[in-house]
Amino acid sequence: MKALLTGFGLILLIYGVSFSNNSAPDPNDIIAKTREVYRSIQDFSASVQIEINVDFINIPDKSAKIIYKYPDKIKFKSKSFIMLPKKGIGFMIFKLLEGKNTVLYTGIHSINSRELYTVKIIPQEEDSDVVLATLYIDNEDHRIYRLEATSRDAGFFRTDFEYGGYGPLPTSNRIQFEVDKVRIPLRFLGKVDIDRSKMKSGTKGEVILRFEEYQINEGIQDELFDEEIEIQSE
Amino acid sequence: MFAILVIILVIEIGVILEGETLIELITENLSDVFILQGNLLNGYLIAYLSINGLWLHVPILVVIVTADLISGESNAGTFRLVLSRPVSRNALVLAKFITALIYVTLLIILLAGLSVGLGILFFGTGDIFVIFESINILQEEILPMRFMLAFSFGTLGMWMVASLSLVFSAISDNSLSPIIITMSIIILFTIVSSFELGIFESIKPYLFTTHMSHWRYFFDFELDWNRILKSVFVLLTHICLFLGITMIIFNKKDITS
Repeated sequence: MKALLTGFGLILLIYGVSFSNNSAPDPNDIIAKTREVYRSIQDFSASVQIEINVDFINIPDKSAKIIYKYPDKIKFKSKSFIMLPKKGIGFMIFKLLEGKNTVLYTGIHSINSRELYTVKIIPQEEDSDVVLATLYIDNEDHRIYRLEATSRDAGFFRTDFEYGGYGPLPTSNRIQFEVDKVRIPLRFLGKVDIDRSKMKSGTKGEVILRFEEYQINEGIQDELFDEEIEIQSE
Repeated sequence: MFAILVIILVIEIGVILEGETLIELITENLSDVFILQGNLLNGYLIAYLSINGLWLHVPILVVIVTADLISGESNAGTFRLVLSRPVSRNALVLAKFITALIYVTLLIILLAGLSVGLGILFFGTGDIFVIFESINILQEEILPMRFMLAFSFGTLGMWMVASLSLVFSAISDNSLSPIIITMSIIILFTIVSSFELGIFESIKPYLFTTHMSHWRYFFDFELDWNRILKSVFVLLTHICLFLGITMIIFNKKDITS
């Protein structure tokens, strides 16, 4: 009797695992569909408003122009001084989706009442700065609504995307990141009265990018990216 | 004028040679997290750094001239002739005081013109990166007004230095003593203002040197007019007080011997 029950239990377990494997979406398929959506963007330009919220930094909102060309050329142009987080600007997704990765489906997660597939990505390239990324993907429009990643030199960051009528191009990126201990050589700027507690490690920062006036797939020349500073895409 | 011109030129040449390194040092760790794009090494930043460095030296240029205004004439004995005319001693002190204010104002205008003008000439314009209570990035558009306000406030601080030196100028019959005494007081108070020790913290708000350094308030992200006006009030009170003391001393001064 005991052997019969054990055998029955084993059959149920195998059946259960098999059923569960059949019902879980294939992460490679999810990524492939998403990749197709993002591949439809070969280039674009847009105007962007930059809002920076970091405890110890006061900077007015800035405006700039962004140009992008598939797969990883990004450049910001602005008449005045601008600050942008090195990681998480959002367009690193294009490169991440095209890279050689190990992907794992980890379940469904709800963000703003939207049910999203959660897929973990482990880049295989040795020179990849991203160690681990989690993508939250809508199974209907195949767009990424949240990106969480840990990079070698910038630590953890999260980007939330909002979309309008521009396909996989967001109307808003909300990037949250860790700000390491900031060491400013204060003596160069004279006597200062600074709240150093605000500059310690663990301080969180947030940058919000709002995009408008997209011009998509109109053909952007490579030479435009050679001038001044080019933004890292990863 | 020549001294200020030389000092500012030395700063500008230093920045031309090592400017990029300076910006890297200032933004050091921030550039680990952010991409910084734009002209940070510009005339306004150079002007800000120049003023920071020069602000302790400008009182010397003020005191050298204003400390001699009364004591010089006492030493030369010209008051006996001047005061034989129908002019009151108070009017004479007031004339000396106004002369000192005009000299100080012209000196600050020269400092402003040279530091901002040469800075913009060599490095152009742009936003500036100032560390004052936090990291402030101030837009180019508001900077002419901010510098004008900071220099105006700085002028008030230097008027106070001139007023203080007039007090000792009225006491003394030689030019050297008022210069040494005024500078000694300013240096002593500045040292006390700079110490972060509890015993000094309580007296700092009452030292004029503490308020003289508040020209930096104009490089705050948002102007806090309450504390600016408080410092203006303290400096104006000191100026009036020192003028009054100078008048009292000069009225009792023996100019016949």
